[in-house]
Amino acid sequence: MGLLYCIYFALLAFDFFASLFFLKTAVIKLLSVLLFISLIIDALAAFNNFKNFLFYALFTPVEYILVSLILTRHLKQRTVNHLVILTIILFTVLCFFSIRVNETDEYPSSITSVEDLLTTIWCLVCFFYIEPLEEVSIIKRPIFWITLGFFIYNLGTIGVNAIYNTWITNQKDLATYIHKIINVSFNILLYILLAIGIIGHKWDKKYIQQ
Amino acid sequence: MGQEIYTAIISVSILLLILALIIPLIIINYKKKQEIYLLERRKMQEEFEKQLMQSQLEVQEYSFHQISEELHDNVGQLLSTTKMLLGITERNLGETPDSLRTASETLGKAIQDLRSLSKSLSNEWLHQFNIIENLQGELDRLKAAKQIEVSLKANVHVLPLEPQEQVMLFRVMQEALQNSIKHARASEIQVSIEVRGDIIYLCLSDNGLGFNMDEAGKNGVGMMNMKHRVKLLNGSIEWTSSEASGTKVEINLPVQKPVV
Repeated sequence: MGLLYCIYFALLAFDFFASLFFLKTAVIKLLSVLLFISLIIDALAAFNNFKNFLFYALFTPVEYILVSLILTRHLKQRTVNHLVILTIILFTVLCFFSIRVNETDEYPSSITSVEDLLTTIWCLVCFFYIEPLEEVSIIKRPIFWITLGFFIYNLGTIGVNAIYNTWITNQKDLATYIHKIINVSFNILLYILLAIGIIGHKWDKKYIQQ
Repeated sequence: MGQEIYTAIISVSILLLILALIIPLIIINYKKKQEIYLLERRKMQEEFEKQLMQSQLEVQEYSFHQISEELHDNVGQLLSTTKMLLGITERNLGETPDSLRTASETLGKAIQDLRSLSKSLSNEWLHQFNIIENLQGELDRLKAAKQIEVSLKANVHVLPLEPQEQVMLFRVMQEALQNSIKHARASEIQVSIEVRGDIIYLCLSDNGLGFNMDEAGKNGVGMMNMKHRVKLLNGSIEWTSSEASGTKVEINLPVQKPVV
Protein backbone atom coordinates (compact mmCIF):
# COMPACT_ATOMS: atom_id res chain seq x y z
CA MET A 1 0.00 0.00 0.00
CA GLY A 2 2.88 2.30 0.89
CA LEU A 3 4.46 1.70 -2.51
CA LEU A 4 1.19 2.55 -4.28
CA TYR A 5 1.02 5.84 -2.34
CA CYS A 6 4.59 6.64 -3.30
CA ILE A 7 3.84 6.02 -6.98
CA TYR A 8 0.66 8.07 -6.65
CA PHE A 9 2.45 11.08 -5.11
CA ALA A 10 5.37 10.82 -7.52
CA LEU A 11 3.00 10.83 -10.51
CA LEU A 12 0.96 13.71 -9.10
CA ALA A 13 4.14 15.75 -8.57
CA PHE A 14 5.42 14.79 -12.03
CA ASP A 15 2.16 15.86 -13.69
CA PHE A 16 2.20 19.17 -11.86
CA PHE A 17 5.77 20.00 -12.86
CA ALA A 18 5.22 18.76 -16.42
CA SER A 19 2.13 20.98 -16.74
CA LEU A 20 4.27 24.03 -15.93
CA PHE A 21 6.10 23.57 -19.22
CA PHE A 22 2.90 23.74 -21.29
CA LEU A 23 1.05 26.68 -19.81
CA LYS A 24 0.03 28.22 -23.14
CA THR A 25 -3.47 26.73 -23.13
CA ALA A 26 -6.28 27.44 -20.70
CA VAL A 27 -6.80 23.68 -20.22
CA ILE A 28 -3.25 23.17 -18.95
CA LYS A 29 -3.41 26.30 -16.81
CA LEU A 30 -6.54 24.96 -15.09
CA LEU A 31 -5.03 21.48 -14.86
CA SER A 32 -1.91 22.92 -13.31
CA VAL A 33 -3.97 24.69 -10.63
CA LEU A 34 -5.94 21.49 -10.00
CA LEU A 35 -2.78 19.39 -9.65
CA PHE A 36 -1.22 21.94 -7.31
CA ILE A 37 -4.29 22.00 -5.05
CA SER A 38 -4.47 18.17 -5.17
CA LEU A 39 -0.84 17.98 -4.11
CA ILE A 40 -1.44 20.30 -1.14
CA ILE A 41 -4.69 18.58 -0.08
CA ASP A 42 -3.23 15.09 -0.35
CA ALA A 43 -0.13 16.14 1.58
CA LEU A 44 -2.31 17.65 4.34
CA ALA A 45 -4.52 14.56 4.37
CA ALA A 46 -1.45 12.33 4.62
CA PHE A 47 -0.19 14.33 7.61
CA ASN A 48 -3.58 13.85 9.24
CA ASN A 49 -3.35 10.13 8.51
CA PHE A 50 -6.47 10.44 6.30
CA LYS A 51 -8.72 10.82 9.33
CA ASN A 52 -10.07 14.34 8.78
CA PHE A 53 -12.20 14.40 5.66
CA LEU A 54 -12.91 18.14 5.87
CA PHE A 55 -10.10 18.70 3.40
CA TYR A 56 -11.89 16.53 0.87
CA ALA A 57 -15.25 18.16 1.57
CA LEU A 58 -13.73 21.56 0.83
CA PHE A 59 -11.72 20.29 -2.08
CA THR A 60 -14.61 18.52 -3.83
CA PRO A 61 -16.41 21.64 -5.19
CA VAL A 62 -13.08 23.23 -6.19
CA GLU A 63 -12.11 20.01 -7.95
CA TYR A 64 -15.47 19.81 -9.73
CA ILE A 65 -15.26 23.44 -10.91
CA LEU A 66 -11.76 22.96 -12.29
CA VAL A 67 -12.40 19.54 -13.87
CA SER A 68 -15.67 20.60 -15.52
CA LEU A 69 -13.97 23.71 -16.91
CA ILE A 70 -11.01 21.65 -18.16
CA LEU A 71 -13.34 19.24 -19.93
CA THR A 72 -15.66 21.79 -21.45
CA ARG A 73 -13.27 24.65 -22.06
CA HIS A 74 -12.71 23.77 -25.74
CA LEU A 75 -16.41 23.20 -26.46
CA LYS A 76 -18.12 25.78 -28.63
CA GLN A 77 -21.66 24.74 -27.70
CA ARG A 78 -23.17 27.54 -25.65
CA THR A 79 -25.87 25.29 -24.19
CA VAL A 80 -23.23 22.95 -22.76
CA ASN A 81 -21.27 25.86 -21.31
CA HIS A 82 -24.41 27.26 -19.67
CA LEU A 83 -25.23 23.82 -18.25
CA VAL A 84 -21.71 23.54 -16.84
CA ILE A 85 -22.08 26.89 -15.07
CA LEU A 86 -25.49 25.86 -13.75
CA THR A 87 -24.18 22.55 -12.38
CA ILE A 88 -21.19 24.35 -10.82
CA ILE A 89 -23.54 26.69 -8.93
CA LEU A 90 -25.88 23.87 -7.85
CA PHE A 91 -23.05 21.58 -6.89
CA THR A 92 -21.30 24.26 -4.83
CA VAL A 93 -24.55 24.91 -2.91
CA LEU A 94 -24.94 21.16 -2.40
CA CYS A 95 -21.38 20.89 -1.07
CA PHE A 96 -21.96 23.78 1.30
CA PHE A 97 -25.02 22.05 2.80
CA SER A 98 -23.20 18.74 2.90
CA ILE A 99 -20.35 20.25 4.97
CA ARG A 100 -22.89 21.70 7.43
CA VAL A 101 -24.85 18.44 7.76
CA ASN A 102 -22.01 15.88 7.80
CA GLU A 103 -19.39 15.30 10.45
CA THR A 104 -15.79 16.25 9.56
CA ASP A 105 -14.61 12.67 10.14
CA GLU A 106 -17.22 11.32 7.77
CA TYR A 107 -16.22 10.77 4.16
CA PRO A 108 -18.27 13.06 1.82
CA SER A 109 -19.67 10.01 0.05
CA SER A 110 -22.80 11.54 -1.48
CA ILE A 111 -21.27 14.71 -2.92
CA THR A 112 -18.28 12.73 -4.23
CA SER A 113 -20.70 10.39 -6.01
CA VAL A 114 -22.60 13.34 -7.48
CA GLU A 115 -19.28 14.84 -8.57
CA ASP A 116 -18.19 11.54 -10.14
CA LEU A 117 -21.49 11.26 -11.98
CA LEU A 118 -21.44 14.83 -13.28
CA THR A 119 -17.79 14.60 -14.31
CA THR A 120 -18.48 11.33 -16.14
CA ILE A 121 -21.26 13.07 -18.07
CA TRP A 122 -18.97 15.99 -19.00
CA CYS A 123 -16.31 13.50 -20.05
CA LEU A 124 -18.78 11.84 -22.43
CA VAL A 125 -19.88 15.23 -23.77
CA CYS A 126 -16.25 16.23 -24.22
CA PHE A 127 -15.41 12.98 -26.01
CA PHE A 128 -18.18 13.44 -28.55
CA TYR A 129 -17.43 17.12 -29.17
CA ILE A 130 -13.68 16.90 -29.74
CA GLU A 131 -13.23 18.91 -32.92
CA PRO A 132 -11.12 17.19 -35.59
CA LEU A 133 -7.76 18.75 -36.32
CA GLU A 134 -6.77 18.13 -39.94
CA GLU A 135 -5.59 14.52 -40.40
CA VAL A 136 -4.51 14.15 -36.76
CA SER A 137 -5.82 10.97 -35.14
CA ILE A 138 -7.80 11.24 -31.90
CA ILE A 139 -5.11 9.37 -29.98
CA LYS A 140 -2.68 12.17 -30.82
CA ARG A 141 -4.97 14.77 -29.28
CA PRO A 142 -3.98 15.70 -25.69
CA ILE A 143 -7.58 16.48 -24.72
CA PHE A 144 -8.52 12.87 -25.51
CA TRP A 145 -6.04 11.49 -22.94
CA ILE A 146 -6.97 14.08 -20.33
CA THR A 147 -10.67 13.30 -20.76
CA LEU A 148 -9.99 9.56 -20.80
CA GLY A 149 -8.11 9.91 -17.51
CA PHE A 150 -10.97 11.71 -15.78
CA PHE A 151 -13.52 9.37 -17.36
CA ILE A 152 -11.86 6.15 -16.18
CA TYR A 153 -11.12 7.60 -12.74
CA ASN A 154 -14.67 8.81 -12.13
CA LEU A 155 -16.29 5.72 -13.59
CA GLY A 156 -14.00 3.47 -11.58
CA THR A 157 -14.51 5.21 -8.24
CA ILE A 158 -18.18 6.16 -8.46
CA GLY A 159 -19.39 2.76 -7.18
CA VAL A 160 -17.10 2.49 -4.19
CA ASN A 161 -17.54 6.17 -3.27
CA ALA A 162 -21.33 5.84 -3.34
CA ILE A 163 -21.49 2.84 -1.01
CA TYR A 164 -18.53 3.72 1.18
CA ASN A 165 -20.38 5.28 4.12
CA THR A 166 -22.95 2.45 4.25
CA TRP A 167 -20.29 -0.21 3.82
CA ILE A 168 -18.05 1.24 6.52
CA THR A 169 -20.74 0.72 9.19
CA ASN A 170 -20.75 -3.06 8.52
CA GLN A 171 -17.13 -3.84 7.57
CA LYS A 172 -15.03 -0.86 8.56
CA ASP A 173 -11.54 -2.27 7.91
CA LEU A 174 -12.38 -3.97 4.65
CA ALA A 175 -14.35 -0.98 3.35
CA THR A 176 -11.51 1.41 4.21
CA TYR A 177 -8.94 -0.90 2.65
CA ILE A 178 -10.90 -1.49 -0.59
CA HIS A 179 -11.77 2.21 -0.83
CA LYS A 180 -8.12 3.21 -0.49
CA ILE A 181 -6.90 0.57 -2.94
CA ILE A 182 -9.47 1.54 -5.57
CA ASN A 183 -8.94 5.26 -5.10
CA VAL A 184 -5.16 5.06 -5.22
CA SER A 185 -5.15 2.64 -8.19
CA PHE A 186 -7.50 4.80 -10.23
CA ASN A 187 -5.60 7.92 -9.23
CA ILE A 188 -2.40 6.33 -10.53
CA LEU A 189 -4.17 5.51 -13.78
CA LEU A 190 -5.55 9.06 -13.92
CA TYR A 191 -2.13 10.65 -13.48
CA ILE A 192 -0.54 8.36 -16.06
CA LEU A 193 -3.21 9.38 -18.61
CA LEU A 194 -2.90 13.04 -17.60
CA ALA A 195 0.86 12.81 -18.07
CA ILE A 196 0.29 11.51 -21.62
CA GLY A 197 -2.16 14.35 -22.20
CA ILE A 198 0.22 17.01 -20.84
CA ILE A 199 3.32 15.76 -22.63
CA GLY A 200 1.19 15.17 -25.75
CA HIS A 201 1.02 18.94 -26.17
CA LYS A 202 4.58 18.74 -27.42
CA TRP A 203 3.30 17.10 -30.60
CA ASP A 204 0.00 18.95 -30.80
CA LYS A 205 -0.02 21.13 -33.93
CA LYS A 206 -2.67 23.44 -32.55
CA TYR A 207 -0.60 24.02 -29.40
CA ILE A 208 2.63 24.55 -31.34
CA GLN A 209 0.92 27.13 -33.58
CA GLN A 210 -0.11 29.21 -30.55
CA MET B 1 -13.76 -11.96 1.51
CA GLY B 2 -14.92 -14.02 -1.47
CA GLN B 3 -17.94 -11.79 -1.93
CA GLU B 4 -15.73 -8.68 -2.06
CA ILE B 5 -13.48 -10.23 -4.66
CA TYR B 6 -16.56 -11.07 -6.72
CA THR B 7 -17.79 -7.50 -6.28
CA ALA B 8 -14.41 -6.14 -7.34
CA ILE B 9 -14.26 -8.45 -10.37
CA ILE B 10 -17.80 -7.51 -11.40
CA SER B 11 -17.04 -3.78 -10.96
CA VAL B 12 -13.87 -3.99 -13.03
CA SER B 13 -15.69 -6.06 -15.67
CA ILE B 14 -18.48 -3.50 -15.90
CA LEU B 15 -15.94 -0.70 -16.18
CA LEU B 16 -14.03 -2.53 -18.92
CA LEU B 17 -17.29 -3.29 -20.73
CA ILE B 18 -18.30 0.37 -20.63
CA LEU B 19 -14.86 1.40 -21.88
CA ALA B 20 -14.94 -1.27 -24.60
CA LEU B 21 -18.25 0.10 -25.79
CA ILE B 22 -17.57 3.81 -25.45
CA ILE B 23 -14.02 4.15 -26.74
CA PRO B 24 -14.73 2.62 -30.21
CA LEU B 25 -17.82 4.84 -30.41
CA ILE B 26 -15.72 7.91 -29.62
CA ILE B 27 -13.13 6.95 -32.22
CA ILE B 28 -15.81 6.27 -34.87
CA ASN B 29 -17.52 9.56 -34.08
CA TYR B 30 -14.23 11.46 -34.31
CA LYS B 31 -13.31 9.75 -37.60
CA LYS B 32 -16.69 10.63 -39.10
CA LYS B 33 -16.36 14.26 -38.03
CA GLN B 34 -12.80 14.28 -39.36
CA GLU B 35 -13.94 12.92 -42.75
CA ILE B 36 -16.65 15.58 -42.98
CA TYR B 37 -14.18 18.26 -41.94
CA LEU B 38 -11.57 17.13 -44.48
CA LEU B 39 -14.19 16.88 -47.22
CA GLU B 40 -15.44 20.39 -46.47
CA ARG B 41 -11.90 21.71 -46.41
CA ARG B 42 -11.11 20.05 -49.74
CA LYS B 43 -14.29 21.51 -51.24
CA MET B 44 -13.40 24.96 -49.94
CA GLN B 45 -9.89 24.62 -51.34
CA GLU B 46 -11.25 23.56 -54.73
CA GLU B 47 -13.79 26.36 -54.69
CA PHE B 48 -11.04 28.83 -53.85
CA GLU B 49 -8.84 27.52 -56.67
CA LYS B 50 -11.78 27.72 -59.06
CA GLN B 51 -12.50 31.29 -58.07
CA LEU B 52 -8.84 32.18 -58.39
CA MET B 53 -8.56 30.55 -61.79
CA GLN B 54 -11.82 32.14 -62.89
CA SER B 55 -10.58 35.60 -61.97
CA GLN B 56 -7.24 34.91 -63.66
CA LEU B 57 -9.11 33.84 -66.77
CA GLU B 58 -11.29 36.94 -66.64
CA VAL B 59 -8.19 39.12 -66.42
CA GLN B 60 -6.58 37.18 -69.25
CA GLU B 61 -9.67 37.39 -71.44
CA TYR B 62 -9.88 41.10 -70.73
CA SER B 63 -6.19 41.52 -71.72
CA PHE B 64 -6.77 39.48 -74.88
CA HIS B 65 -9.74 41.67 -75.69
CA GLN B 66 -7.69 44.83 -75.19
CA ILE B 67 -4.91 43.48 -77.43
CA SER B 68 -7.51 42.45 -80.01
CA GLU B 69 -9.05 45.94 -79.99
CA GLU B 70 -5.63 47.53 -80.24
CA LEU B 71 -4.67 45.31 -83.16
CA HIS B 72 -7.95 45.93 -84.96
CA ASP B 73 -8.36 49.65 -84.31
CA ASN B 74 -4.76 50.82 -84.31
CA VAL B 75 -2.36 48.49 -86.13
CA GLY B 76 -5.13 47.29 -88.48
CA GLN B 77 -6.07 50.86 -89.38
CA LEU B 78 -2.45 51.81 -90.00
CA LEU B 79 -1.97 48.81 -92.27
CA SER B 80 -5.21 49.55 -94.13
CA THR B 81 -4.15 53.15 -94.65
CA THR B 82 -0.76 51.95 -95.90
CA LYS B 83 -2.49 49.55 -98.32
CA MET B 84 -4.72 52.34 -99.54
CA LEU B 85 -1.69 54.60 -100.10
CA LEU B 86 0.07 51.79 -101.95
CA GLY B 87 -3.03 51.41 -104.16
CA ILE B 88 -3.00 55.17 -104.92
CA THR B 89 0.73 54.99 -105.70
CA GLU B 90 0.11 51.98 -108.01
CA ARG B 91 -2.57 53.93 -109.87
CA ASN B 92 -0.39 57.09 -110.11
CA LEU B 93 2.58 55.20 -111.42
CA GLY B 94 0.65 53.72 -114.30
CA GLU B 95 2.97 50.76 -114.67
CA THR B 96 3.26 49.09 -111.29
CA PRO B 97 6.65 47.59 -110.41
CA ASP B 98 6.63 43.90 -109.31
CA SER B 99 8.11 44.73 -105.95
CA LEU B 100 5.29 47.19 -105.24
CA ARG B 101 2.63 44.67 -106.29
CA THR B 102 4.25 42.01 -104.08
CA ALA B 103 4.41 44.52 -101.22
CA SER B 104 0.72 45.32 -101.69
CA GLU B 105 -0.22 41.63 -101.77
CA THR B 106 1.89 40.88 -98.70
CA LEU B 107 0.30 43.78 -96.90
CA GLY B 108 -3.15 42.51 -97.86
CA LYS B 109 -2.29 39.10 -96.43
CA ALA B 110 -0.89 40.74 -93.29
CA ILE B 111 -4.18 42.62 -92.83
CA GLN B 112 -6.10 39.38 -93.30
CA ASP B 113 -3.93 37.54 -90.74
CA LEU B 114 -4.17 40.43 -88.32
CA ARG B 115 -7.96 40.40 -88.57
CA SER B 116 -8.16 36.67 -87.88
CA LEU B 117 -5.68 37.02 -84.99
CA SER B 118 -7.68 39.93 -83.60
CA LYS B 119 -10.83 37.85 -83.91
CA SER B 120 -9.30 34.89 -82.09
CA LEU B 121 -8.21 37.13 -79.22
CA SER B 122 -11.46 39.03 -78.91
CA ASN B 123 -14.18 37.84 -76.53
CA GLU B 124 -17.06 39.71 -78.12
CA TRP B 125 -18.08 36.56 -79.95
CA LEU B 126 -18.12 34.75 -76.63
CA HIS B 127 -21.84 34.15 -76.64
CA GLN B 128 -21.84 32.36 -79.97
CA PHE B 129 -18.38 30.82 -79.62
CA ASN B 130 -17.86 27.50 -81.33
CA ILE B 131 -14.58 25.80 -80.56
CA ILE B 132 -14.58 23.65 -83.69
CA GLU B 133 -15.00 26.62 -86.04
CA ASN B 134 -12.42 28.66 -84.18
CA LEU B 135 -9.96 25.80 -83.99
CA GLN B 136 -10.33 25.27 -87.74
CA GLY B 137 -9.64 29.01 -88.23
CA GLU B 138 -6.61 28.80 -85.96
CA LEU B 139 -5.26 25.78 -87.84
CA ASP B 140 -5.82 27.48 -91.20
CA ARG B 141 -3.91 30.50 -89.97
CA LEU B 142 -1.03 28.32 -88.77
CA LYS B 143 -1.05 26.35 -91.99
CA ALA B 144 -0.74 29.53 -94.01
CA ALA B 145 1.87 31.20 -91.83
CA LYS B 146 4.15 28.41 -90.70
CA GLN B 147 3.97 25.89 -93.52
CA ILE B 148 2.83 23.15 -91.16
CA GLU B 149 0.64 20.20 -92.11
CA VAL B 150 -2.39 20.45 -89.88
CA SER B 151 -5.67 18.58 -89.87
CA LEU B 152 -8.80 18.67 -87.80
CA LYS B 153 -11.28 15.80 -87.50
CA ALA B 154 -14.52 16.20 -85.59
CA ASN B 155 -17.54 13.92 -85.38
CA VAL B 156 -19.82 16.81 -84.31
CA HIS B 157 -20.35 20.39 -85.47
CA VAL B 158 -21.01 21.86 -82.03
CA LEU B 159 -19.68 20.63 -78.70
CA PRO B 160 -22.24 20.20 -75.89
CA LEU B 161 -20.54 22.83 -73.70
CA GLU B 162 -21.31 26.40 -72.66
CA PRO B 163 -19.60 29.03 -74.88
CA GLN B 164 -17.43 30.18 -71.95
CA GLU B 165 -16.29 26.62 -71.38
CA GLN B 166 -15.56 26.26 -75.07
CA VAL B 167 -13.39 29.41 -74.87
CA MET B 168 -11.52 27.87 -71.96
CA LEU B 169 -11.02 24.67 -73.91
CA PHE B 170 -9.96 26.66 -76.96
CA ARG B 171 -7.23 28.35 -74.91
CA VAL B 172 -6.01 24.92 -73.81
CA MET B 173 -5.85 23.74 -77.41
CA GLN B 174 -4.12 26.99 -78.43
CA GLU B 175 -1.49 26.37 -75.75
CA ALA B 176 -1.03 22.78 -76.96
CA LEU B 177 -0.64 24.02 -80.54
CA GLN B 178 1.91 26.62 -79.48
CA ASN B 179 3.87 23.94 -77.62
CA SER B 180 3.92 21.71 -80.70
CA ILE B 181 5.15 24.54 -82.92
CA LYS B 182 7.54 26.40 -80.62
CA HIS B 183 9.02 23.71 -78.42
CA ALA B 184 8.53 20.47 -80.32
CA ARG B 185 9.13 22.07 -83.74
CA ALA B 186 6.55 19.77 -85.26
CA SER B 187 5.86 19.71 -88.99
CA GLU B 188 2.61 17.75 -88.69
CA ILE B 189 -0.19 18.34 -86.22
CA GLN B 190 -3.41 16.37 -86.02
CA VAL B 191 -6.36 17.45 -83.96
CA SER B 192 -9.43 15.33 -83.35
CA ILE B 193 -12.60 16.13 -81.46
CA GLU B 194 -15.13 13.44 -80.66
CA VAL B 195 -18.21 13.07 -78.53
CA ARG B 196 -18.31 9.50 -77.22
CA GLY B 197 -21.49 9.01 -75.27
CA ASP B 198 -21.09 11.05 -72.09
CA ILE B 199 -17.49 11.96 -72.81
CA ILE B 200 -15.97 14.69 -74.97
CA TYR B 201 -12.60 13.57 -76.23
CA LEU B 202 -10.03 15.95 -77.69
CA CYS B 203 -6.67 14.84 -78.95
CA LEU B 204 -3.74 16.74 -80.38
CA SER B 205 -0.78 14.78 -81.69
CA ASP B 206 2.37 15.99 -83.40
CA ASN B 207 5.54 14.54 -84.90
CA GLY B 208 7.81 16.88 -82.96
CA LEU B 209 10.78 16.34 -80.69
CA GLY B 210 8.85 15.29 -77.63
CA PHE B 211 9.84 16.32 -74.13
CA ASN B 212 10.74 15.06 -70.69
CA MET B 213 7.46 14.79 -68.81
CA ASP B 214 8.98 15.20 -65.33
CA GLU B 215 10.93 18.36 -66.13
CA ALA B 216 8.12 19.94 -68.10
CA GLY B 217 5.66 19.12 -65.31
CA LYS B 218 7.87 20.83 -62.74
CA ASN B 219 8.70 24.00 -64.62
CA GLY B 220 6.00 24.42 -67.24
CA VAL B 221 3.61 27.23 -66.38
CA GLY B 222 1.77 26.55 -69.63
CA MET B 223 1.14 22.92 -68.74
CA MET B 224 0.02 23.91 -65.28
CA ASN B 225 -2.46 26.40 -66.76
CA MET B 226 -3.75 23.74 -69.13
CA LYS B 227 -4.25 21.34 -66.21
CA HIS B 228 -6.04 24.01 -64.18
CA ARG B 229 -8.36 24.94 -67.02
CA VAL B 230 -9.27 21.34 -67.74
CA LYS B 231 -9.81 20.78 -64.03
CA LEU B 232 -12.20 23.73 -63.99
CA LEU B 233 -14.17 21.92 -66.65
CA ASN B 234 -14.18 18.78 -64.45
CA GLY B 235 -12.07 16.97 -66.98
CA SER B 236 -8.69 15.30 -67.22
CA ILE B 237 -5.67 15.92 -69.40
CA GLU B 238 -2.81 13.58 -70.22
CA TRP B 239 0.41 13.94 -72.12
CA THR B 240 2.24 11.11 -73.84
CA SER B 241 5.58 12.10 -75.23
CA SER B 242 8.57 10.39 -76.80
CA GLU B 243 11.34 11.45 -79.16
CA ALA B 244 10.34 8.78 -81.66
CA SER B 245 6.63 9.49 -81.95
CA GLY B 246 6.23 13.10 -80.82
CA THR B 247 3.69 14.32 -78.33
CA LYS B 248 0.06 13.42 -77.77
CA VAL B 249 -2.23 15.53 -75.61
CA GLU B 250 -5.53 13.88 -74.67
CA ILE B 251 -8.39 15.63 -72.94
CA ASN B 252 -11.49 13.96 -71.58
CA LEU B 253 -14.45 16.02 -70.43
CA PRO B 254 -17.90 15.08 -69.20
CA VAL B 255 -20.78 16.08 -71.45
CA GLN B 256 -22.77 18.87 -69.87
CA LYS B 257 -26.22 17.64 -68.95
CA PRO B 258 -29.07 20.13 -68.95
CA VAL B 259 -30.40 20.94 -65.48
CA VAL B 260 -33.98 19.65 -65.17
